[in-house]
Amino acid sequence: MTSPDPFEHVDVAYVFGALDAAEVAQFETHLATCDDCTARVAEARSLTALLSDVSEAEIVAAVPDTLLPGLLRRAGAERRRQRWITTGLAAVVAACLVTIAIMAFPSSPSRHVDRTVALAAVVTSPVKASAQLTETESGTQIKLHCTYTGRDGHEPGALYWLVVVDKHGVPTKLSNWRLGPGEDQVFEATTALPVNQIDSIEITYASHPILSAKL
Amino acid sequence: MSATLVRTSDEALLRALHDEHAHALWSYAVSLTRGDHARAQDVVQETLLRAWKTPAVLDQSHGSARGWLFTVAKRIAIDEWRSARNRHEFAAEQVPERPTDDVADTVAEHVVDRHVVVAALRTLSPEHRDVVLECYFRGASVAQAAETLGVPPGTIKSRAHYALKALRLALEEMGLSMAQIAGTT
Repeated sequence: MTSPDPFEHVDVAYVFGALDAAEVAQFETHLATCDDCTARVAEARSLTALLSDVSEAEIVAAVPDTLLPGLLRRAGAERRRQRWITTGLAAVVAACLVTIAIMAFPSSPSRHVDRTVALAAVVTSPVKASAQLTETESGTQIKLHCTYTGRDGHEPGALYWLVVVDKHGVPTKLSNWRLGPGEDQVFEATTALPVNQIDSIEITYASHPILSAKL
Repeated sequence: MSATLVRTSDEALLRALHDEHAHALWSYAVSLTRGDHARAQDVVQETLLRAWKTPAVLDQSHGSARGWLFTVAKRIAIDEWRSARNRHEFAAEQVPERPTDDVADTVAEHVVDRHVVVAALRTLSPEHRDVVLECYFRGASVAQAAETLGVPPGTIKSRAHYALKALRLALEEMGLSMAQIAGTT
């Protein structure tokens, strides 16, 4: 590299017409011999041309004070609505699962269902889930039912993880799956933890919990 | 307890979204709604709400997040405009003020270029913006701007230089290439 070009930053002031006559003459002499500055001036002219239709008032106009409070209010209403739907839906799903479990295993002592839990929303998301936990000799089997009910939200085929958190707060990822709008998934995963050692189960998306159930 | 936590983090996220993007979105929404400030507020709020409900958007780079927000704002404005028009016609059975059909698209397409430029200008830092305001919009010389803004003339020149670099970057983030920028001149 050669020594830095003393005119490197003069392009825009020149195009804006903000230089005095002596500086203009100096810079134009330099321009005749400097391809870099010539290219910079051409680009500055293109960008400056865009400004000709714009008014100063448009650039400085302030965002109304009422915008943020209104946004928070709408988010609050949305959150309450979501929570209501989540709770209602989760109750229905849980009731159905219990019914199915009772019908499927009316007298099977070796495979009794220990817990059925609906996962509550940690953040707003299009995904709902419930889990059925069964203690086995080697730990706990978790049967997860996960549904993508929202119309929009996560990208189609988004990746989710089932995570188990033990009583010490240590999370373990059990399995992952992809889900898109209108799809649902039922699958089983196992953990070596007995049911009474599980503090909570979570579903994460993009490394953040979106649904959670404390046992 | 946990409900309170969610609430606080939600609010923090919404505030961050507002602080980061509302300023640029605002001018764009005003243009999309033809200067109707009440509807423009509606468009910005709805856009930021959708971003809040779509965490994947925020995981993207800053630039693609902004591009997403502008696309969503435009779609919301057009949808609102259409449904308002339908309500209006249905209720009053009046002759529409303008020829119908694709007016919404035309309106939006027509204003997009100029207002993307305004929105991009509104993303500039105060230092960059002030130099552009002084030297371009108010026609000040470098020496006058230096005096007004209380910085040396050399700083005015280099801020002007970097202000347009930042403007170019903001335009590119909103989906305009330098070739398109040069083509509009």
